[in-house]
Amino acid sequence: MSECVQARDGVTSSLSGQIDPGERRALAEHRAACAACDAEAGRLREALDLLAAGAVPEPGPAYWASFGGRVRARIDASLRRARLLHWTAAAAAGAAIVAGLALLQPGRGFAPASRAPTIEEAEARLRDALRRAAAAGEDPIEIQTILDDIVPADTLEESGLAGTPAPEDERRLSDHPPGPRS
Amino acid sequence: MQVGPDRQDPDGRLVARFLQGDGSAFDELVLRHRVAVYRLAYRLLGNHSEADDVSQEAFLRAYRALPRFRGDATFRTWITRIVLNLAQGARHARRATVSIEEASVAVGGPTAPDAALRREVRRAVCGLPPRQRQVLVLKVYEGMKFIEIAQAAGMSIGTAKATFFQAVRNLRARLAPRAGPSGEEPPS
Repeated sequence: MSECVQARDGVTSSLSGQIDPGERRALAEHRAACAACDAEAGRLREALDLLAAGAVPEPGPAYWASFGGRVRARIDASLRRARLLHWTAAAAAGAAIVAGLALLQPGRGFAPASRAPTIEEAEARLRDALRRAAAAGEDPIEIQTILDDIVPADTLEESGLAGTPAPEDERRLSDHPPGPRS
Repeated sequence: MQVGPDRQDPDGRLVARFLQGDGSAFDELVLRHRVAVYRLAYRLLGNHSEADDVSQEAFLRAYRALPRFRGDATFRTWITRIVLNLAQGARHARRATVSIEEASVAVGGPTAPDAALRREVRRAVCGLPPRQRQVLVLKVYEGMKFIEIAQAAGMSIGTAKATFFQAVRNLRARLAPRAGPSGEEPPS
């Protein structure tokens, strides 16, 4: 049986046309001695010979005349798609960078982007409100209410800004989370 | 291991020219290999429409990938591998063999018995498992050596030989009425 297994390699080589003289001789000897392998090798050869009937239909000269041009057109279309993809990706990347920079601006988060007053602006509003309240003869309690409406007192206290703010301090109030109103 | 195209080989020279920016070298490669590529695709797929599409796509893939061509196989083996992969993908996509009969009948010319035999053989080849079909086609129709088949199909030489043997046996079983009776047990 091991000789039959070896013969199988010989049959493969023989069918493929890649058989060396030594292998050919060994196969011939085995086939002469083994009817089963001899019959199998003959049947496989017949099957392989039938493949000669499987010729590929010739598509014709017109087909070959246009072949190169169609390949070139396909290549050109592919290059156009690649360029378009490149520019689309670049544009998308640019848009993402702009959006990212906008989100990273101080005072701008994912919340609605209304502009928060600076310390100086808040002080100016305070002064204006106090002036108007005093001119109108308002009650001190009313004045406190106005102040609270403009800037929550605890926010300024917690942030240490309730005292005299440094003139160069440009931080926006919305940088600090609002605390509960008292 | 060789790196870069073999300049002794005509294809290698064309690849080298292409890599140096000569676009016409690729047109020459197409001209040299278009028939072989189409026929291989046709034998693997069994119909003109898919063979045409796979042939053109193979050259497009080659165009894109040539800058990475390492030259450790010939251009022919390299593009054969591309065709094998594309044909396998096409067969997976359609899941059914169609148009084999139409394609062979449409050619015209052969007598009725010849046409019937061609249909039968083509159907038998297309009915083989993909790897067996690939190896059989490369060996019988492309005349490749087992080492070339191994490179193109991505397998060892031993596997290529064993697959070829299985393919012929399988083919023989499919063509049994024409190939004669099979009363005896084949060697195992």
